[in-house]
Amino acid sequence: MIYDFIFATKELSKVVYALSICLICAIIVLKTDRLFKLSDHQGLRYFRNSFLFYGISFITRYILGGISNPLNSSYYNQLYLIIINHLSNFFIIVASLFLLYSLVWKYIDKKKRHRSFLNMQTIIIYLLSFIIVLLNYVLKMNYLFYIFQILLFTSLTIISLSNCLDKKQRNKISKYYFLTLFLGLMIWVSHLFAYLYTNLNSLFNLLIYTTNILFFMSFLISISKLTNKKNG
Amino acid sequence: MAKRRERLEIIKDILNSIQNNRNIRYTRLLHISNLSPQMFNDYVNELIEKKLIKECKDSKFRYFILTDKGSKFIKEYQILLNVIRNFGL
Repeated sequence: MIYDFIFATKELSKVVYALSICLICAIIVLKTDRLFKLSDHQGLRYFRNSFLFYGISFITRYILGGISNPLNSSYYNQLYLIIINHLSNFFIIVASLFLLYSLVWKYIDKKKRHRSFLNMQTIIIYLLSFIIVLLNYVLKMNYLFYIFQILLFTSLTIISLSNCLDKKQRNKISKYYFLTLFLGLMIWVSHLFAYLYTNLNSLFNLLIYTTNILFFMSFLISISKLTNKKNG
Repeated sequence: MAKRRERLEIIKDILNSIQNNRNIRYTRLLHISNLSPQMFNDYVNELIEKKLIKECKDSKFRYFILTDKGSKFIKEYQILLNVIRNFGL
């Protein structure tokens, strides 16, 4: 019954879905704001950047992309949707790369302190994301985007697992973080499946969207638990 | 061999030293911090820039006092450490 209702109000459901995730991302960024301002910690900087860009990507895809026929021409409407789609993919790749960099920055660049959005590392991230999106478009290999995301999340999962196994870092929430990233990996594998096998029914897509919300919620729950002042 | 301190731990130690020693002088803080003079200066300049501490001068000596923001850092340090460690940042 819920499924029928969601399917019947598809466009509205997409907007609600996107706004929910944007809200979760915004809360994560806000909850880590005071800690970041006090410490200027690099890892925290890139972690927050990641959620900012995830929020932007969902607004781009589902809110801007949901505006039906902003230009009164079917050709320009198609062009608009193509641009929105690739822009959204760009922001998602940037977000995932920031998430990965938040785990590996300490092995690459320990000493320097940078601006959040414009420094050598972030420029490389933007460039790499642009290249993937461009290849996607030029080669007409839309699954390249999904494969790249799967590779990123595989790396994230492996790094998180090694952090879990490290005695100094092993604790409840680091295990939970590993499971969250593994869930993210499964989500991207499912996205690739849904893209390759387009005859999969809408229920499968709905499952992916629901799991996506759970993915972001689990980050929010972890951050909320840790930043609760009573736990300090 | 002593464990190498992380950046945040060094900052916390410096701020704690300033909090526990009112109007602590430059040379005493340098001695307590257990850092090389160059590294110590880098940290102190960063803390002054971030307004976590304030540098004052009387007729003869430089000394440091903790700002409100510096006190907040000490209080929030454990929370910050928990976030960083739990997420592996």
